[in-house]
Amino acid sequence: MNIFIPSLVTLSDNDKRLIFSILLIVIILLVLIGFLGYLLFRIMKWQSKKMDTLIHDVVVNKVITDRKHLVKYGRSKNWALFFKQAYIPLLIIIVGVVVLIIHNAVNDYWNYNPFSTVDGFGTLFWTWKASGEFTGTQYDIIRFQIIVLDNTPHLVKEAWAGYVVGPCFIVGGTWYLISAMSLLARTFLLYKRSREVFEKSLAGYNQSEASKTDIAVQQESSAE
Amino acid sequence: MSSLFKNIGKGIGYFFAFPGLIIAIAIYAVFGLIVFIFQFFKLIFLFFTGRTLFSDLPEDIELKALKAQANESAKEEKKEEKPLSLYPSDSVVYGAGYSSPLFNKEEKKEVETEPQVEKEIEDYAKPAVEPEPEEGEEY
Repeated sequence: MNIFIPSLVTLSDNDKRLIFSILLIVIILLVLIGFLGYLLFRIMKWQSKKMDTLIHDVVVNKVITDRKHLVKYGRSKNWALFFKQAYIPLLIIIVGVVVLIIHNAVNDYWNYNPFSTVDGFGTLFWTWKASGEFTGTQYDIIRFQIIVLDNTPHLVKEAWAGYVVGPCFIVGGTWYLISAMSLLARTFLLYKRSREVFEKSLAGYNQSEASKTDIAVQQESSAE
Repeated sequence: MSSLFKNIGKGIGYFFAFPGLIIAIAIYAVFGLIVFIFQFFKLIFLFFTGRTLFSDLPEDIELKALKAQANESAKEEKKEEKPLSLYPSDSVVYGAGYSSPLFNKEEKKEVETEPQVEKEIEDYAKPAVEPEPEEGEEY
């Protein structure tokens, strides 16, 4: 503690400004990640509704009457739906892989990176890199490298494979991840519903107050 | 003020749940891919047995049977509830295979036009000038 106090006292205006801006960036990052998490949970909640549609009729018509059976049925339906949802994105990814293999085989260039900023999909974007030059305060803990512009969007003839493979991987990958997210959301809801639907509650029930006929009816229904 | 703290608390919760959720999705994506490959081979196998991956499960078949049964009983109930009509309906048969001419005019028209058409055909087939009688022919 004694080491830090004199150091903090000697902070210059520039150091204080830098610390404040770093704190601001951290807060913005926290808010952004929190918002992204919130968004994901909302999307998953919306996606999970499909499971209700899948299992509704068999539960309401009492075709399925126990928890394990419902989970088994729901799982079969869930995977079949996932297959339906995932085959298009996977097909897109396979097309990308095939193009990449053909490109690499023709050029005999097996280390080719389709997202490279030199001869890949990365040539179409602005990219930045660390310059190797340090800046910041006099303290090592808040010193960092200066970031400089590395690439501006431009077309390269040799990057044609990257222009095909890059979008294929990005679109197919995102689409597939959304399908996987949907699968996860439906699984969560299936287990939740399997607990809720067959739940029996004794809250507010008093046996001494219940009439004999009620008990008889209950016994009959349990015997069935 | 309390809602503000509630929202901040929720935000912190989402912030900490986010990495867990991402990991869960990644695991499911890999697991899903493995299952997808198995399902693909299963689909090929099922194709040769005349079924698909999306065929009805036993529970679905049972449900369909139940629904059909319910529909049947509903129809029967409707039939039983149908009030008696004062007027002859289409189903009333007047003999000779014809339905009521009052309530099925189109059918009646068709029946009436049949002999008329036959007559027209006969007229058309008749020669315009009658041939002169040959010698020795008696009238």
